[in-house]
Amino acid sequence: MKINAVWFEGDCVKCAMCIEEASGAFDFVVEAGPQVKPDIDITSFTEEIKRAAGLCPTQCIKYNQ
Amino acid sequence: MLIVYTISDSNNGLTLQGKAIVKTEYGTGIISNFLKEEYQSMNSAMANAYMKTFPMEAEKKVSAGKRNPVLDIPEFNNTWNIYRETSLDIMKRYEYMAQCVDFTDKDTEAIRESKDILAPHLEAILDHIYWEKLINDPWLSKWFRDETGKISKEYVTIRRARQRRFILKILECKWDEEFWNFVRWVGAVHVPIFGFEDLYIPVRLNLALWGYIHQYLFNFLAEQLKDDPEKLRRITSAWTKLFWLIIDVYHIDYFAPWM
Ligand code: HEM
Repeated sequence: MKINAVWFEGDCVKCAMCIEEASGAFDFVVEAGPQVKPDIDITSFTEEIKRAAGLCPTQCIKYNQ
Repeated sequence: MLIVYTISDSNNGLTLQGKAIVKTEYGTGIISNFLKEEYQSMNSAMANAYMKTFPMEAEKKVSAGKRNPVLDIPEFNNTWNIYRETSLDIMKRYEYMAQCVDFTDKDTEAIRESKDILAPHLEAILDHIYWEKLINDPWLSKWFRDETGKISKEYVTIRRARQRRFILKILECKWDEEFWNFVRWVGAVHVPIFGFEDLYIPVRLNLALWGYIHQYLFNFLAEQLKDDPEKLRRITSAWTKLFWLIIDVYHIDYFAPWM
């Protein structure tokens, strides 16, 4: 199933692995940490986002599908 | 690695200001602007370090006056080609090492088989390695402490997460170029090649940790498979071979190519 919304929630430790796994969907902003890129078609990054969420050490990546 | 320094005068040769252009097999780069004196002292520091590493270079070169005929012998020529190709091509290196340690499709199958045993305990295994072993060891723990000497929980969490990704990648059992390049990269981040310039994890610590993980995994498998010695033999034998293959590629950037 495709992801239609993604966001960060909780205590991110800024390991930056989510950006390595889903660079199309996420950006790393110094200080703020990972952010969802604006104006992108989230659905097209479903696989990458799921992989990033599975690797996130603090389960901060939340999504709806 | 060939390093050539050249001084380029910026002002009709009247100024002492210069630039060092470093040419290596990986490319050419300008390293700094500096005064001639600095260049000379850096040059001699580099030369001293080089001479310490390769003392034979200090000896007078005397031509033997004979050509070395070793490559005329087909067996040695063949060996030279293996050496050359396995140094240049990571897949050839893997293929050669795999046949040497006798790592076959049966071993891949055994590692796949072990996934069902390991995956449910992966979090516990990682917790043990990071939250018990690494942070309590007087030397290994150094890299997990903040400036005040306290264990940085956040940093341990990050390191553990990256290690988890590495193990999951191994468990995918895809021994392709991407996998071996990843293994090489993981090793390379422990020396100042990529990543942090001041980070250097001594080889003995890598070996200590590889050795510790190896025995921990084997004791764990022995416990899980105590009723099936044949399966235990199959799986531990496959993991032993894979460990050696990974340890080789992991250390590529620790050593000069001829090592
Ligand atoms: C069994 C041997 C080892 C394995 C398999 C291993 C695995 C890894 C992995 C997977 C990464 C992250 C690579 C990435 O995702 O980009 C990493 C980085 C790192 N490891 Fe290890 N490691 C080993 C030995 C050690 C030892 C002995 C230490 C020190 C006690 C250490 C300290 C570090 C540090 C400080 C980094 C961060 C490097 C950076 O961010 O540039 N590792 N290691």
